[in-house]
Amino acid sequence: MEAETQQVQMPGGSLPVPKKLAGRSSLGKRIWRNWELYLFVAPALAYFVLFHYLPMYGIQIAFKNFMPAKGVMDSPWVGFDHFERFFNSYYFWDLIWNTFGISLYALAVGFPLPIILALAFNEAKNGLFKKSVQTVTYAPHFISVVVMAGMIITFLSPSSGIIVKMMEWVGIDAPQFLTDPRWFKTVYVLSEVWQSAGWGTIIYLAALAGVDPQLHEAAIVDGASRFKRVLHINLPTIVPTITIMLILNMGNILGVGFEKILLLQNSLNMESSDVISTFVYRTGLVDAQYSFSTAVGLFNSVINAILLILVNRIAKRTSETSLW
Amino acid sequence: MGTYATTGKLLLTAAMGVGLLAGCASNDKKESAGASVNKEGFPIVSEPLTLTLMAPDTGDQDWKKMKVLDIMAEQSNIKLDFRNAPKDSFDTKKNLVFASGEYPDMFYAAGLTTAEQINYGEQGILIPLETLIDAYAPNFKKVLDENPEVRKSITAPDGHIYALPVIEMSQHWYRNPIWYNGDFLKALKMTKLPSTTEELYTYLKRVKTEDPNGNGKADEIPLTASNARDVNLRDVRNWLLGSFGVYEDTIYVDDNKTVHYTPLEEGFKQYLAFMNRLWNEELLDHESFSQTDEQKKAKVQNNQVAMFANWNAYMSLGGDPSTDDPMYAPVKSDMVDKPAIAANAGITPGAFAISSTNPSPEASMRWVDYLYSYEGALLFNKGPEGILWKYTDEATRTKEYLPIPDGGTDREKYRSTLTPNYGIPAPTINTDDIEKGLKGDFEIWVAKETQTKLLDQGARPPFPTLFLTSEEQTEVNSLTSDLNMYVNQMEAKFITGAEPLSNWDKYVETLKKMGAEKMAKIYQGAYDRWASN
Repeated sequence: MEAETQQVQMPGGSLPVPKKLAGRSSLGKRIWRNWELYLFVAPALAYFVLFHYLPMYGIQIAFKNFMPAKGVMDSPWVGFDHFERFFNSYYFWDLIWNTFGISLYALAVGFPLPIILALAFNEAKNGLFKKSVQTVTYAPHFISVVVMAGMIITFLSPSSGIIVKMMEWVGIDAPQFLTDPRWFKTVYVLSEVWQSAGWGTIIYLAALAGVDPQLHEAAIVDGASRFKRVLHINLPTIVPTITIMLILNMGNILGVGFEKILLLQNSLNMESSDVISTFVYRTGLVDAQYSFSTAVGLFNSVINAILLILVNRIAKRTSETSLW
Repeated sequence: MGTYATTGKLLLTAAMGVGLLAGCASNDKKESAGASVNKEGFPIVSEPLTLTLMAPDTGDQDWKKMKVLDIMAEQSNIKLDFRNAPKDSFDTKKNLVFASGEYPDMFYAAGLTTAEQINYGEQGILIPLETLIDAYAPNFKKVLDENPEVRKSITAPDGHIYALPVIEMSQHWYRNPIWYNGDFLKALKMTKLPSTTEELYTYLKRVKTEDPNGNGKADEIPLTASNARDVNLRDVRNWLLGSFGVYEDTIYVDDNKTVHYTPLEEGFKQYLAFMNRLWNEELLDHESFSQTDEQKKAKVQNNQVAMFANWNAYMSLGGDPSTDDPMYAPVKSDMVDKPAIAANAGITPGAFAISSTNPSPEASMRWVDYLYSYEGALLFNKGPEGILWKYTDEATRTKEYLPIPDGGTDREKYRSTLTPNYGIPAPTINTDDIEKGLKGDFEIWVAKETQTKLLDQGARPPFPTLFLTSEEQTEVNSLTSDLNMYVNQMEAKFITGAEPLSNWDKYVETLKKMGAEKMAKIYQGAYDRWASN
């Protein structure tokens, strides 16, 4: 029994396996020796290969004129025609601007808030108060997007919306939240914050749990105020987490929440609400122009990947933290 | 021992993972057809046959429990396996099915556009039906022989027929009618309905200011619309465009056989100006572009709205069918001598098609052909005899309604649980025979309103049902996505005043840059081809 357990521990490095031997042994041999671990990885690996890598062969229809009867492989090639059509489209710059605008706006407002909130939660000592505030801020996360969009439309309705009525009550002229294009991005971002800021604190709270209490004790002895301790002990501890989260968020910058935007769109706010993903939905699924919408989607993904790599580079140069 | 247990668990985990993935792949094989398709009468096949069918589902009743389909399955010996999708998302689902490579055997009430018919027909996904019609569809063939224009409208430019239409010569509406709220008319002592745009404006203004619903509050909404996809302003737009001489909101042909692309027309500009005026004086609901369909319905039911579009007025207002809420009679502007009124051509293409993977196109054709016979159309439209209706004289096909079973009050609602032909463009033929004796006071009144207010005033189809060639279609497809979006946005902006109408020339210029003139040209070519045939 004992010997068997030890064998399993081997890859962890606790057994004195000579370095030379482990490093040089062939891949097959290493897999054979640790086959249980590889078995654990297998389902995840199969999942990614099946659902994320294999479907990529379909990307080729971006360079083809896809015809269902001929299938993906046999449809005729057209080169970069679809990309050209997109770049020359009347809406190209609107789409780019809206997609970037909404993403950056959401990032600028939505990214720091959970951090501040987490730091504040961490300081709250009263258990009941802390728990109830946390529950209240988490709750909106569990509302489905469709219901959320319905709530937003109802709350902001000029004739009966509760928010509009409240603004009127305190004497503010409520703007046309849903139909004025200048307001769309704000409505989107603020509702996003309301829905996800609480949930976003979880990862930072976990990181804050790892702060060494000795540092706080030493700082108290030195007479540091609570604010100073938060600033100089808590915040630096979670900086690696913040960096990783920022990189991940940047990689997703053109992938703004498609459903909510689609549900809040109307012909009056379209000029500021139409983003690449809703455009792909309309041309692809509604108009059945699969090749064109694949080209647009591919363009989106490529830009995303470039941004991810860039930000990761910058993070690597300026701090120790990076994704790879 | 311990290792074995652990290993076993691991293997199990892995196997389950793989099993989950494999679960997605379907492995149902098609049964091959018995060659024995009877040429006449029932059963259609001697050996039982199962076919798959895809249709839009309104959600009123599980299709497996529909009496009419049970009867049809029993007498034809063809069992149906339904691959339905909800009506609201049917178009999306339909596109995906065509792209997936796994087709249902039959498309029912699928609303296949002429573009889809030619696209999927030329690719061989939909099979040509004309030889099958000759051999296996005596009823439908009779309809074609008696109405050559039906054949002309459903034949693709390559000479094939890829889909069968809905034929409803007695259904004249192109869009849902607009109905006046009768209570408001009475309260404002209107003895005559508005007949010009100015009179309409005056009436709407009075609704706004004179409290016709009598609740002491100025909560009346003269005219409203919703942000529901594809619907929003559509009905209102089409009726009001008519006042400025335009038949339809995209493509129409005028009396001199010239085809117009509406968003470029002077009539469209005048319509925008009129709507902008309504908007500025709050005669058009300021929530028209943002509210949901439910919010709009609530306002109508709340007795706040003076005019609204629906199939019948009572469906919006609630309560029983009533002849107190008159149909909107199209009004005219100074621009024209009489309003342009669109009417339904009587043929809706693309109601039924057979896919290339269908094991027995012959049996499928015989199945659908029954729906174009008097008996079949009657069964599918009214349900079997003895539930909602019975014959008073079978020889003359005269019928009468029976009380609604289970003490229900809404006949249409009950009908929707019997038959699939409710709220979807199902393949059928609607003749006067079917309705004989069944028309109540309300139906007769509606028919009279339609006759006097629309048909007698020169209503006609805005554009014939016709096909573009696949090259033309490809071009139109790539033009329309941008054009539609731009027109939609600009319409909303012009109406709400976000864009002043003085920028009309700039708008036209942009449209031309986007290829708007080409639209009219392509459709003109197609129309000329159609007319010379």
